[in-house]
Amino acid sequence: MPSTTRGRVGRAPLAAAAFAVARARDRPSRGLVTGLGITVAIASLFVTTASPLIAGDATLRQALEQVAPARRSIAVAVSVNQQTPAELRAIDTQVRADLLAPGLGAPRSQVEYRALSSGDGTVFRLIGVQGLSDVVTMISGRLPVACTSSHCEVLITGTDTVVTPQPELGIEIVGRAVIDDPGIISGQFRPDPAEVVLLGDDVESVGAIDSLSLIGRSIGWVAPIDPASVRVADIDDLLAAATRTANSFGQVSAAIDLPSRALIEARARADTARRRVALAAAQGVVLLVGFTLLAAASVRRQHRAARDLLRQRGASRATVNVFTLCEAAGPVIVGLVLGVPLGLWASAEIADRWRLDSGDLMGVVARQSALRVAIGTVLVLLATAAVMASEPKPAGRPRRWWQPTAVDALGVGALAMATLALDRGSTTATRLVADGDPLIAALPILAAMVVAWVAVRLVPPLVATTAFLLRRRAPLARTALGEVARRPTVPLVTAGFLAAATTLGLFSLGYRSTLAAGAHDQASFTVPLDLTLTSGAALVRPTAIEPASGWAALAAGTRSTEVLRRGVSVRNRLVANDTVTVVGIDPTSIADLRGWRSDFGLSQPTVAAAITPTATLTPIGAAIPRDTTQLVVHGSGDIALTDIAIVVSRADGSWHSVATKYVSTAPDRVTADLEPTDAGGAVIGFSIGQSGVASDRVQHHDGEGATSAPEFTASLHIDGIEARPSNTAVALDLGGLTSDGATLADTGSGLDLTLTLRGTTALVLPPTPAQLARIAAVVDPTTAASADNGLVTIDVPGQSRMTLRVAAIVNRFPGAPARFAIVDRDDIGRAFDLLDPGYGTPNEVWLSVPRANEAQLATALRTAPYDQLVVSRRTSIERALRDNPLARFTLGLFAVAGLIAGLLAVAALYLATAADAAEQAPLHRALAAEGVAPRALSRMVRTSGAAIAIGAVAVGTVGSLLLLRVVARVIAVTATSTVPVPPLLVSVTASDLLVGVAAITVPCLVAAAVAARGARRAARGDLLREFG
Amino acid sequence: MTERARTPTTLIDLDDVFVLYPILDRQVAALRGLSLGVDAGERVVIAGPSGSGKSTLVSLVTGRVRPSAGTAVVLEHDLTNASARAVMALQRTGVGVITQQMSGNLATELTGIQNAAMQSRMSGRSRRESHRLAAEMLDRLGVGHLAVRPLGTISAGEAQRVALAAALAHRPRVIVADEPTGALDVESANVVFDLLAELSDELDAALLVVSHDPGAGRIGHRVLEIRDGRLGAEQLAGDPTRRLVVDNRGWVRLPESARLRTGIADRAILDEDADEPYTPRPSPSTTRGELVPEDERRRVLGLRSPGNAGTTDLRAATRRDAPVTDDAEAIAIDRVSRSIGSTRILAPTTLVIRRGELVVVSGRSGSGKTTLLGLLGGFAQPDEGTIERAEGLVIAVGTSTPGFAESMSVRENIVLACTVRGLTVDAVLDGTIDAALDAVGMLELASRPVLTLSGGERQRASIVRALAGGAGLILLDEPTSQLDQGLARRVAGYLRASARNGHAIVCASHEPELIAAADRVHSLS
Repeated sequence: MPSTTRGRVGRAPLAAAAFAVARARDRPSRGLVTGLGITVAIASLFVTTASPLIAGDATLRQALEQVAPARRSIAVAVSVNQQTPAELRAIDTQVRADLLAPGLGAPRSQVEYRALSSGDGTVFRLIGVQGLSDVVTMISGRLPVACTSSHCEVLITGTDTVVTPQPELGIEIVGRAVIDDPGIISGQFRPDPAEVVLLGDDVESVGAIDSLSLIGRSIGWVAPIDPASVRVADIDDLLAAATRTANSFGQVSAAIDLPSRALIEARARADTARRRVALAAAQGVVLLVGFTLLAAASVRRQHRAARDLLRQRGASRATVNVFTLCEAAGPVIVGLVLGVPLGLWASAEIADRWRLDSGDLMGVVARQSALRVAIGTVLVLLATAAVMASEPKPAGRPRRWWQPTAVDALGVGALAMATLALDRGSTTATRLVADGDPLIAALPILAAMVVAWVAVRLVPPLVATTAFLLRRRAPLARTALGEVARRPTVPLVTAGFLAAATTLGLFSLGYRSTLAAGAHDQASFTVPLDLTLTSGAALVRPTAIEPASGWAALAAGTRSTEVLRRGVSVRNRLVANDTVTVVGIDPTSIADLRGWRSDFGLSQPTVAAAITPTATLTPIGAAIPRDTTQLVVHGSGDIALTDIAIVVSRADGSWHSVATKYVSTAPDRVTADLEPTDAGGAVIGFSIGQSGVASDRVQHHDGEGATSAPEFTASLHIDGIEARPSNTAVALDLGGLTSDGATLADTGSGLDLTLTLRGTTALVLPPTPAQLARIAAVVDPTTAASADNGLVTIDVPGQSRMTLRVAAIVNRFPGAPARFAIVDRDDIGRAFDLLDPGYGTPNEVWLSVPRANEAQLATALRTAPYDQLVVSRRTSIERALRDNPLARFTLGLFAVAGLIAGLLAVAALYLATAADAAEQAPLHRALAAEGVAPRALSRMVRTSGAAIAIGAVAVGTVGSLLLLRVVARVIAVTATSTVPVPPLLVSVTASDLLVGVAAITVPCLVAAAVAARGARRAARGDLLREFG
Repeated sequence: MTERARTPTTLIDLDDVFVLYPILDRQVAALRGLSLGVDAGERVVIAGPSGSGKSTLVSLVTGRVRPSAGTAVVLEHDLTNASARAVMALQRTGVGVITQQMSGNLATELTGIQNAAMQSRMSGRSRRESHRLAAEMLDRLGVGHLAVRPLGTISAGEAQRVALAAALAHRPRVIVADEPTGALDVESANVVFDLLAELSDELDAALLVVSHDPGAGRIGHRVLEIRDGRLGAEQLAGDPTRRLVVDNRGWVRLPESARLRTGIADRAILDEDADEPYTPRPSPSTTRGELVPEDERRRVLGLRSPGNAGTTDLRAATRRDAPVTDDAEAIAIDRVSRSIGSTRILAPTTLVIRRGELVVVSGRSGSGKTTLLGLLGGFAQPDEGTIERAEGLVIAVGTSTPGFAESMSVRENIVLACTVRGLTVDAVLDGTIDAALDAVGMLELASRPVLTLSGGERQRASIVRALAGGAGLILLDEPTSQLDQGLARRVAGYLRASARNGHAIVCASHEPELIAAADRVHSLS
């Protein structure tokens, strides 16, 4: 028996590796294309790692820059009355050690005495600052040079402040200065900015002045947070430093001050962005894996021939596998060698553009990406090698397209998983921050698998049908399509990948467009016209400051509409209450709304028509003479026990109740003093409640029983209302009044009222057509679903209830949240006022202004009295959303993801078409020998490539729209990583879609054409070589 | 029962081997109870028709397929039970393989010496040692000058010598050559066969040559014929007598009682000239004889008789038919030559081809046969001389390695060729295609996807395709290189008959059957 183990182990694999290198050197083009594809994918992994870091850091810096400079630090303050200098030194050392954190500057200490008083009674503070000369600019005098326990030189701050400390304090002012560093002597160290401050140099010496030894004082440390260098990754360290510092004082109470909210919000947004980047990163992974596997499949036949040769030469399985690994590693190495530097460079460029320290960032990116890239590379390498080495199916009858395969199991499995995942509900910004969500990363993968499966299933019959239709007219095209349909391994893998890449590419672009439109919506829904005015802290209504006609005077071309916005309750089918916002709006202003979109359900004119009342409101009530300052209600009965208020409609139309006063000396009347705005208004009716005396009686009964009345019951007779000083009667039609809480009887000479109350109020008001006729409302679908027979009953605060009639349904409405009822402003205002006087008064003003005059209007609104209002500008909101770093990164990321998907799709089709051309070379040569022109041969290859491309892109386009719809629904996060208000709505126009489809299809067709030229060259070359 | 008793020097020992493999929806038995023993230093030539199992036998001996049943022992490795590692070790060190296709033997990306050293390196030898052995073998085979040349541009003859070096440089004990001279002319083929014989003697190796080239028998100690996966006949060196294998596993099977009665053990001699077809002459191991039943005899004779090839006596037909040429010239070349660089690949040649003629261009490898076809077909331009083609002449070409739309059936491929020629569907579906397929023995395979066909079947399909398109001039390059003698004869008859129908057919070939059927043979020097 011959020896079968000669030589040394390891030489054969080396020879196999050399063989692989020789092959790569001999035919580099496909390996290079594959390597470039992997390059792009690896670079994108780096960029997707870097982007959220950069975005987070940019967001943090933006947030910190919005914090007042005085608060942009960690400040620690502690009362130190009892400590010895040695103990203070120990505390100082400890605090400085605790405040070591990235992004924090060196702590500067200061000591502050309680407010002191000078001889002339001026209050001042004495503060000692470490390194005084670094934080002040001298105006006059000189810097302090000495501070002992008996005599301490100080500076006085400010340009004109004057103080003369008592001589026995031993404090001498030697100069005047202003403080440059906003971080010190601010915040809790300067509770009253008006106080005079004296500054001494050094903390320990200023804190040890004998004359002030009994005065309470605090020592503080201020470590500035540098927005330019602090990073999201440092926030935990910053917070930990603050916590350590607070804990280091033990029993001593320390006050810690830092902009924690800004820090934590920035981090939360960065985390959200990072987790959402998983969406793009998962796309990158899917595309990378798919592309490399496709590339591997396209060279499998050639590779198998080389493996067979090696086997024929006796190579062991391990050696053959080494050969395969080496062949697979070539493109991967190219991808690594080019992709890693490209990714780092791109990340650094992005960081530089955002003026972030790219050197530091790159370290983090490299650390975070290294493992990911390493694992990905190994997996891709192994998967590629596995595909290249896989055994071809033994020759057999081609499988029928409808016969199930393993791909079906994968596709159905992915579809089932996606369905289950989506059934969990939507992912919100909160969930993203809290624990991330695997759905984010899983969705693109599952979607790609499902779409690829559908493409694999649909493309063969589509191609076969096309081939059938072509049968006699174009035999070559038919043959090419027939080969695709019947020998489908590489074509189908290509179709699947192309469909998946199209889905992910168009999805990326569509999602980007949706997020951008979401930002536009967000601005438009916050400010439906150009500006929105609402009450500020002073609770002054905009309508109280300026009548509707007055806003135009602030800037030419300004138009206004008053809006009534109220939150009401609507009972849903689960017998629980939902909050619905009723927006009363002038129907004619709907046409001016900026954020209206065609996919809301109805057009603006339709919505306006739906809520426009059929009849104008008839005026109600009795006019109040213009000079009236007081109204007198004449009556009898239990006047003393009732609180009678007169419901008045002001001259501007707003309602309110004017309380009356009862004087025992005049028991037949009550009087009400009017506000100036009531003059020229109208008396509408009355509001009647129990008086304090009556309430006491009822409470007494409740407490002791049977000693008084169990409830308030009163009988009143109202004779009429008199206006003073004109002493004219107000012609209120008492007989036309109605009430839910009182029994009314018109006596001809007046009105008899009988009522029983228990802490409530009875309204005595006229009925109105609006109240009787059901106000038409345009509502959202959810609110519409809670309607009963087309009517929605709403509970108005104050235990009143009214009914709206659903006149139309729209998905959303600018200026309203997700749940809304849009109604005619005057109708609903009247109805609300009748239920609760004053509740129907408009509380917002929406303004539109020509763009040229917008700045002028904004300037005017900053002046009194308009400065009492909160002014929201749509353009400002939109700009803020647009310039938000997270938004820019998010949108940019998805744009890049779409671009990469498109590039890989094109590269994939090139590889597949080139492989097809190579595989079909014998057929082409035979056809060339039959006289078929080279151009026809390349057209033949191009036809099959184009058929795959068109079929796959069609499937992928449908898939992208579905994925987009799903993602927009389940990932309820805006581009700025907040909850979208209004909810995201897919925003892809037909023209956008066409452009996107063309952007993928046309380059694919070009790539197929370029690769097909190889068929022409190959056929001709083969013939020439064979016969030349 | 083994073919011969196994001895300590038996390097290949196959006993009752079956090999099944799937094709379409069923399992096909490529070998059906084959028994064969080959000793060290013995040279065995395997012949047989296409599809008889020759290539499967090669795969079996080289360990690339395992027996489905029976035992196969090579170099004392029982391939039925051996581990994959052991089989690979056997392939690496004990076996040298040469095939017909250059791509199967050589990597064109490597130089000659790298190819020749590959198997040594696979067995773990150092690069230096492997290259030394390879260089010796290349020199020994007269292709030392190719050591540092990439192999993309060398001729077929050179490639086959490098392939020999690649297969033998590591000094194997079993040499398997599968159609090693398919692309070579007789002279080159003889050189290769002689080299194989010399080298196997030097290495004291068992040489198994699978070939339908009659010249191969010259170097064999035994020539075995395989039919339907079984041993059909045996011929010993120096003995013109062919002995049919008539045991219960051979192609001709007789009941043991009959063999005992007639004195036939497991061999019988076919006497084709006798009135009684079979004479119970004792073979070396035969003691008694028995008459073969008449129906079996007829079947055997029907298949083996030179004058009765299948259902059509093509030879008779070709003898009867005179050329129908009306002296219409299809193409004429006058002093045409071609060179590549400084190498002249076609000496000045003058040739006139007329319609109705079957012309065979012969000559040794490298003499320019294929180049001449290229010039006739217009695929290459002559350096000098003139070519005159008849007006409107349509040319069709059949290459030695034809390409097809693999998933389409044979018939669909032929229809496609007709369609691209501009023939109407009615014209191509009127039965002429099926008649042509029938003439070359392909009718049963007409509906099969091409990807399931063997090399010989593809070659026959390509001949029909070239002729079906209605071309006036048909150029065929080695159209029978993968066919056995019987099929080659049948195809030659079909070509001759087709020429009689007005085609001008030119074949580049050294196939004797084709040369015999030709109206003219143009020999290139």
